[in-house]
Amino acid sequence: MKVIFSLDGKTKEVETKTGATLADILKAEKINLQTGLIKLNGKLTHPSTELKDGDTLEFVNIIYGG
Amino acid sequence: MVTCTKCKKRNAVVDLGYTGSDLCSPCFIAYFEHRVFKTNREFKLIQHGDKLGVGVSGGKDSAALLFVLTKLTKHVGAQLIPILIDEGIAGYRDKAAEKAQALCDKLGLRLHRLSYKKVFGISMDETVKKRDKVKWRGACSYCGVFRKHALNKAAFDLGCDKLAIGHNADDMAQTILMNFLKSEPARFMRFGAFSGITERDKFVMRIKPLMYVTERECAIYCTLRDLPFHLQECPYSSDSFRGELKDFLNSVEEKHPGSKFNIIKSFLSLKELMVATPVSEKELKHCAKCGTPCSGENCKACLLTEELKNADGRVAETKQITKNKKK
Repeated sequence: MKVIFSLDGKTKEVETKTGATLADILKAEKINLQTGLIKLNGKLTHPSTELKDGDTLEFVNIIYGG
Repeated sequence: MVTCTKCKKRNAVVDLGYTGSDLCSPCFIAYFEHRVFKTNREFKLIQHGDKLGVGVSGGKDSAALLFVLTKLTKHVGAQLIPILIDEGIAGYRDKAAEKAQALCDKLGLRLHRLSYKKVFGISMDETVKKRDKVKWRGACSYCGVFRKHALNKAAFDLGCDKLAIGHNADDMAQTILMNFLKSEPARFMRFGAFSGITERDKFVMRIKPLMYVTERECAIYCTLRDLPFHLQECPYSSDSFRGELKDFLNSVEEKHPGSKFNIIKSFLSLKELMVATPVSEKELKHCAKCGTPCSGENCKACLLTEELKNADGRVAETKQITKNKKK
């Protein structure tokens, strides 16, 4: 299945296996969850949530500013 | 879907690795506020009748701080005075200041502003342009000194008893490691829930109500509470020692949840043991120029601004010497 992944304003399509979670995508993208927030279809979502085909996933980097 | 481990009803939206719990939105908000309230009780940070300055930047940490303090001070009976320091970074602080103003409007609080330009006669944009002409320093080396000085001045002039700053558990763990790695025992001993010199003329005691919540939790809290905050990297931020430690700590935390809090807890336990042994510290003086408490004849902020003021002259002098040598 395919999901849309967005990071720092850059969006791309990611191919992943059925049953993959948000955490799986972050791991594949080598992103440390400690450095930001994960949103699924615009809402803050638990990283163990399973993805569906066509979902939009956004990682919001928070490790700057203050 | 993961169910909230607290209420066991709603879907969890946050995983707190270090507690092993997964929380829904209302339970996370309650958890976050409870942590801050507990920190306040443990260290007796805010007392009834306090006039409390709050450093706000428009960022997530200070937005979370100000919002949670409005709840806390209602219980305790203290007055809140939000203070924004404008460094003079075009396209950055002005945008963040809009968010800080929006939050204050939402909370019905008056936002007090003070700029580097007004206090030091020079903005950060100008400082960065001039620093090449004097002894080169990273922008954060100026900004850290200037911000601390300006915040203290604003809080003092406004008659604040204390100044709350948005230092979270990440900041605490980084600073503890930095002081340890730089071998700065005097700084090490002064560090804690209360910061800097606690009893001194012209110095407003800084307190850290967010010391037991992480940077990520502050961002989650602001998002779930729908608070206005600004997320943008400062254009002058550069790779610093603190930045390296930040990356290191986040990697450690991912593999070993709770490490950041363990650093803080270990430090506070050690500090308690070490207080019994007198630590020799240079006697504190007052800056001959601005009167701020400091260890030398002048405070760091005055030394830096003086250096920047003389920048043009020094360049001319250097050029003149070079010219003469050529002859």
